[in-house]
Amino acid sequence: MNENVFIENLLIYAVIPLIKIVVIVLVLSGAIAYLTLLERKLIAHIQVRLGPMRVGWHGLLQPIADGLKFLLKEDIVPAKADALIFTIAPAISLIPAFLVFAVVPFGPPDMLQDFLGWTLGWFPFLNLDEATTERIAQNAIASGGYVTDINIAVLFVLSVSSVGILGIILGGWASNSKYPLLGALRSTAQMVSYEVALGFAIIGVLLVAGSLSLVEIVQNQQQEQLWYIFVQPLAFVLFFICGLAETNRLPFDLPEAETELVGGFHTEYSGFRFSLFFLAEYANMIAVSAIGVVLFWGGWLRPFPSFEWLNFLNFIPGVVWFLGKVFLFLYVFIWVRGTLPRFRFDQLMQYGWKIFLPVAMANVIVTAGVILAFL
Amino acid sequence: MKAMEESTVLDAKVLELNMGPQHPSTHGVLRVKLKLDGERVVDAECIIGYLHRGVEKISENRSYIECVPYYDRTDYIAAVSNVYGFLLGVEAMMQIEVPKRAQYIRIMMTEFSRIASHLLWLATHAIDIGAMTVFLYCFREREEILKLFEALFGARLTTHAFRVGGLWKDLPPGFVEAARKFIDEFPERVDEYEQLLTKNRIWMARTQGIGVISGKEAIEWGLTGPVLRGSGVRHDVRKDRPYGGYEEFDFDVPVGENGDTYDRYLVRLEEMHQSRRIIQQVLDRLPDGPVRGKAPKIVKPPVGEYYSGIDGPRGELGYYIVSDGSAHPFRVRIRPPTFISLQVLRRLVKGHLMADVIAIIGTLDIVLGEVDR
Amino acid sequence: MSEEDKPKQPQEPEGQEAPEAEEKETPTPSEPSSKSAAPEKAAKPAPPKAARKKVLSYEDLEEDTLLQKLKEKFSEHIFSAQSFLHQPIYTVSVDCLYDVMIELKDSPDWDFDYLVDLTALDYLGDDKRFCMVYHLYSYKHGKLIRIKARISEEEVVPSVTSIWKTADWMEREVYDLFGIEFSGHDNLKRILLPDDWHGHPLRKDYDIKLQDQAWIKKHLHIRKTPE
Repeated sequence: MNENVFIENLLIYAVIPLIKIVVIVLVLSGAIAYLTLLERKLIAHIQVRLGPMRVGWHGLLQPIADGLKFLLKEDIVPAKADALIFTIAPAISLIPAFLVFAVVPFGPPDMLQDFLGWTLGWFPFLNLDEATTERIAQNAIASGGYVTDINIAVLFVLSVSSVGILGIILGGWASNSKYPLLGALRSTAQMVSYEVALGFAIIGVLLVAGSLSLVEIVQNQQQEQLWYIFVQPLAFVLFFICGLAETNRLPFDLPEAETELVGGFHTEYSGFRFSLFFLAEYANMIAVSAIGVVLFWGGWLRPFPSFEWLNFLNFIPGVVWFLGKVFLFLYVFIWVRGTLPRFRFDQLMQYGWKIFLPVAMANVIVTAGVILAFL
Repeated sequence: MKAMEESTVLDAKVLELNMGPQHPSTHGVLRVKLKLDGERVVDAECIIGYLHRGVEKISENRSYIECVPYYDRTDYIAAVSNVYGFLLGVEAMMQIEVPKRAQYIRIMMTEFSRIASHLLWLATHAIDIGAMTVFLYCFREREEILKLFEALFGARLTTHAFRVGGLWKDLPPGFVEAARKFIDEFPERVDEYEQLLTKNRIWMARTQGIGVISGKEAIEWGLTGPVLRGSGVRHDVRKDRPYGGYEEFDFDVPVGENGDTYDRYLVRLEEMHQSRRIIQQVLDRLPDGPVRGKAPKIVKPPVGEYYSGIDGPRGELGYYIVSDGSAHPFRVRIRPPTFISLQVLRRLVKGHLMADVIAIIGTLDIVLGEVDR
Repeated sequence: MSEEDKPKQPQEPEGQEAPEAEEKETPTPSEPSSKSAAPEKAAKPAPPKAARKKVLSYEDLEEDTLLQKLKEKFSEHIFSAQSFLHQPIYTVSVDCLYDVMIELKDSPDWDFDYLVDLTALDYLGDDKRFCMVYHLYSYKHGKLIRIKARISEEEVVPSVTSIWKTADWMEREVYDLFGIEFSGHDNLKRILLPDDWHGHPLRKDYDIKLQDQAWIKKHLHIRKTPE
């Protein structure tokens, strides 16, 4: 009996989460690789050309070729660079980008319930009786569509993603070269200022949801039968714009504006280290999209949960809805890149501090007032 | 480089930054030594000459006819008008009559080359400011023009377009139709770019009030072409000193008001429309006849000198030809419009941010092949 | 290479001296002898040509208002005015070049506010070897003129950068390629060629194949350049 409890706990708290982590990391890496292809293809079609066509059918194997290229390229550390920091900076940038996904709920807490109940029977050496299997499958930690659900998930996301900025700053500084330095300085200023506005935009949602747990935020949207974008449209707009800025995407891609700073903070990077920065940028894009979907677009919920005549849509699992929405977000990210020119640095700061931040604060105050007065 | 040797760049109070000669936005091998205070430009110095080939020296050692292909390669973006300017000078000195049909075709091709050049300018200017889609749209249209060039001249970039006394050969069959098709579709295409840029808030914020130069100052700096017209001076060599039959055509000279990057952008867009108008008129009134006048096999202008200035896409392109009566020019001086407009860069960028330097280099529309010759 | 062109160079001055004598007899190129040697030098091959073809030549501008005004003001320093293909050419002495330029720009009668071009010509072998050539244009009057001034090799030309800012790089280019010095130019250094290059390529005694071997050795590490 004791042994059974031990195995049960081991499964719930260690083995199954580990498997989830491995799956998420692998899927995420693949998703990033193909996101680059998606971006190239989409931009190409916006620009009346074809994009990659040579490697595989319509360039489908292009990300693999690119990955190989990055791996095989010479890894250059400039002579005057601070070798240690130069070496670890890309990792500092990449790891937090992946860490965010630990708390992102891809599906409802009972997502894997049936799946677990079914698969655990495949492992006779575990000697699980039916009741134990049932208990494991019922446990939200094991069966939830997320790695973990912590009650300060939003704070965790904000703080972890701030660490990622450190990688960019260190990378730019450690190169000991002028263009990267300027790029790093730009990104410091840009990300710090936009993080503030981003935080305030999120607070609006938090006030409505009354929770910091991402899972609970989605569940609250389910209870209220309403996506929070309809409650906090302004906050969403702010979140999206700041999200663009946080991920260094056009029109806010100043830290790496090729036409001004050559490559920005990664000018001196090459080969594998460069690809880590590259991966981090796209991982951040997916992360921002995922958080945006969770906060504003109802996470794994289907559209218009309040309309019963749409119930036939329920046969599509929540995780598909979630991924579909994330895809839409990413599509808009890329679309914006294909359309808009780039801001200038001082304009960017002005917009950040003089427009977005006050508006976001006003949004928080109004939301709080409304909640106090009417609810 | 120097600051690198002193342990770290952070020591320097004023950051000296070498923009170029290898930089994505200096449009060739221009090197701008920027002194930056933060991101603000304290001073800038242009260092040019990386592409100096001594075209003027070469000209003195070649016959008049052999010179021509070298001028294709000075301003390689608008090779057609370069050759045109030189040939006008030689023909004037030789008193060669160019047949009407050849004159008209020359004007048409020169205007096509102006459109192609402005398209390339718009493309690179837009991508400098981050609008990458416009870049490829412009190349789509430019490609159509280059196809026309190829049909008539047999080459796309360094066209060696015209010959002394007229053209190498008459228009190939189907050319007029193709040209008509292009100019019929063209306004729509330009509208497409305008949709993406003209009223775009970011584009306006990036270009309005950037690199302002008044009309008076622009004249003092010797600026010509769209840069001068953007500052409100209505001057166009085609109107003021008509050459090669331009007086027969009806077109407007657009001018700006504020003399900033945005106005220069608008002027160039409008110039494309005006060039289209000229081409339309050429196609409507294209006379029949020979395309090459009576020109001697060996070109030997009499003793004398002639300054032939034309309005190239980048401004006044002048050829000062001095002949000693032999088959080789005694001296050919090319007045390159961008060499002269580039020196105003220092005056324009002072006090602006680094990102504006890119916008201003773009708006001057420089071609380093011509700057350095 | 330098040996190769050595014999060629003496030829040029010879060729220029000859026409001077010839010119006296053949009146075809209507050049007053006071005029610069520019066309004189070139005159050699011209006479046979002129005999065959209808003559296109320099014409004197006697009753030109600009010339008369200038002569009033600067009397002996203005040499002549001619035109070729209706492009007027005024030859002035370098001593008063600067004052003439100021007059031309500032006087409301002329208002030549746009310096189109500034360059030089090299008449190797003449006493006054170089000829400065300025093209001026007036936006108000729509008039294009050419000012010429002959200088010897040692003479220094007054810089016109204080009159037209645009002269800055043009004078640097002339300094670079001809080796003509300008007084009053505050940043007179090479512009197209490297700062430490020796020689001035647009001079007639600089062969087209000539290169600064020392510079090439030092900067490009090429021991021997191909012939």
